[in-house]
Amino acid sequence: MGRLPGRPFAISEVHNNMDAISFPENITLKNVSFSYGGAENTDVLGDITLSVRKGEFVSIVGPSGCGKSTLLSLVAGLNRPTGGSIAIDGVPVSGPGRDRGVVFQHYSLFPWMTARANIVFALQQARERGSHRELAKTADRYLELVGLKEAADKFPCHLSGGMQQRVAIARAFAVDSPILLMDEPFSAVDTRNRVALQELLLKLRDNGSDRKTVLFITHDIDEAIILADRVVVLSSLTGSVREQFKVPFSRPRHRTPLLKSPDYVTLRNGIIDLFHKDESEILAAGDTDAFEASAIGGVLS
Amino acid sequence: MKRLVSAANFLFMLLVVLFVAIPCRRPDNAVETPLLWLVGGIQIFYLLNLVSRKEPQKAETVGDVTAIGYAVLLAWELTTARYNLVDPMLYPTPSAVLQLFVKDRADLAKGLLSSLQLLAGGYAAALIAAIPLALVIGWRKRLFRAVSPVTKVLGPIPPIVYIPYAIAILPTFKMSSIFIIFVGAFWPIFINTLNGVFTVDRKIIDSARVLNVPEGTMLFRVILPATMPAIISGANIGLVLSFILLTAAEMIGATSGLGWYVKYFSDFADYSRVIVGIIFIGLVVTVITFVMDKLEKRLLRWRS
Repeated sequence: MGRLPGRPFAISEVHNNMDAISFPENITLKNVSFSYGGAENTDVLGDITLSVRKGEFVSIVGPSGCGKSTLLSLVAGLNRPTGGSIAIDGVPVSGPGRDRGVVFQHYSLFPWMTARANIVFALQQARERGSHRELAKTADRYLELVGLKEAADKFPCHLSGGMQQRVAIARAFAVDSPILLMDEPFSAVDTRNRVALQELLLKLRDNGSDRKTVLFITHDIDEAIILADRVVVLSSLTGSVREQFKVPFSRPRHRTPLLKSPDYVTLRNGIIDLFHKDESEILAAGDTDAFEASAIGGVLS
Repeated sequence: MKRLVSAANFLFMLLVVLFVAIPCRRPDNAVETPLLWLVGGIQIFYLLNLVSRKEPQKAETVGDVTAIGYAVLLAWELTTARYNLVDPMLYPTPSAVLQLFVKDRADLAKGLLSSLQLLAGGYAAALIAAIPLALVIGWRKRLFRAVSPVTKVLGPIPPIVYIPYAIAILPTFKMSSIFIIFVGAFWPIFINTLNGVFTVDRKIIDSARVLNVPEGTMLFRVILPATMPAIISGANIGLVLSFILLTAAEMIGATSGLGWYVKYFSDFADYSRVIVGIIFIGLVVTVITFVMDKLEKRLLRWRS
């Protein structure tokens, strides 16, 4: 993509972008690569070029080991890319910033702080004005919003995994960063709670005046589709974007009918096929009997 | 009613019977009424615990501990005062020890005060020096890698060997004691904190980094609490070492204090007072450990 960073998004360059044409580009990754150093084969990300518009919800899926969490840590500013560039609103990322809120799978909350104290701490770090009492009030308001008013004085160890993630989400929305980066936030939560958390996330996102841009890492394809405007599939072979799928369903989405609709099933199968292709290509690329491997690949795809 | 059938109650009865039925055979024995009062007090405490406790297991433990105490007292009383089976000079009777306890209370209190001054000085200095230093060094990976091997050499040196040297180089005995306690407590606290900082979960650090916390906040509001379990275990080891070093130093060169009390009277072969001193030190350590336990529970209440 030969666009200058920061220039408003005029014409969609991703082939399946149909709406949101007038939204400016928010997150821009250009030829981003990353490796942990050392031997040649340790490339985690090969060559990622991706752009996310303001207010867009993008899910990133891919087989395990494709570097999706690494990608998120680069956007969060926790790691620096080995090559390429990442920019937020055209400004290169040089480290973490309060324009981006992050929710991790584990330890998003500090275990030694109560739910309320966790939110207050984050607000303080975000240079939020106000006395401790005012910030605590804000914290309580957001805890109420996620249905955890009673848990304000509890420590994370006394909350279930799902409740902890609720608090983490409450914190992210309390700090009100325009961009939300989520790294498999619901993976450790049981299925029923996961659905509730997904709905909560969408509800909170719709509440605000400015819709947050969300980059959502998951290995759950249903979750990826139901939440997102666009699903980006990474390849574990090349560590780059394999394909992008526009999610055409209008919002608010109703889970049960959606899961049954033929469009949904087609989209879902398309993504799963890509996963299988990726696996078979890895087999073929390995130094085991190439002929046999490609034969298996043929069967799989 | 069923709860009243216990080892503690049985042994209590046995003690009472023993005091009434078997005559005292030690001419040097003190009046026995205070000991009876003490045992009666313990028994009342135990019974109150039995009826008021909501957790049956805790009540059970209190009962078992009481029973052990009674058993020891029973054996002691039988072998000394009642049947006079052991050397009277080396083994005083329980009543004699209790009497000396009361008689020497002023000296013991003075000794305690003097000991606590040394202990508090050295231990507090160790905490204040070791924790921030270890936080900063543990947080800087390069510094950590440089300092870690040094701690492996200096840490294991038994601090007792510094005593003569410390006495030689420092002007007063008090200062050298504080210094020795400081050295003894410093290493376990420092090494534990250092390793604690180094092994703080990467995810916790990342969670703080994405909140864009400045360096000071990172160290004292994230790394410090995350390391607290390791710090506390180091602080506990440090405290035990401090006590050992305190009494050792006092036995070598002090003119007051708990260690001095024991050493001084053993020089006069006054073993009754030696036992008084030992029991008193045990009680003091118990109280301090109890306070530390409470503090630990409070500081780590977020874990469970």
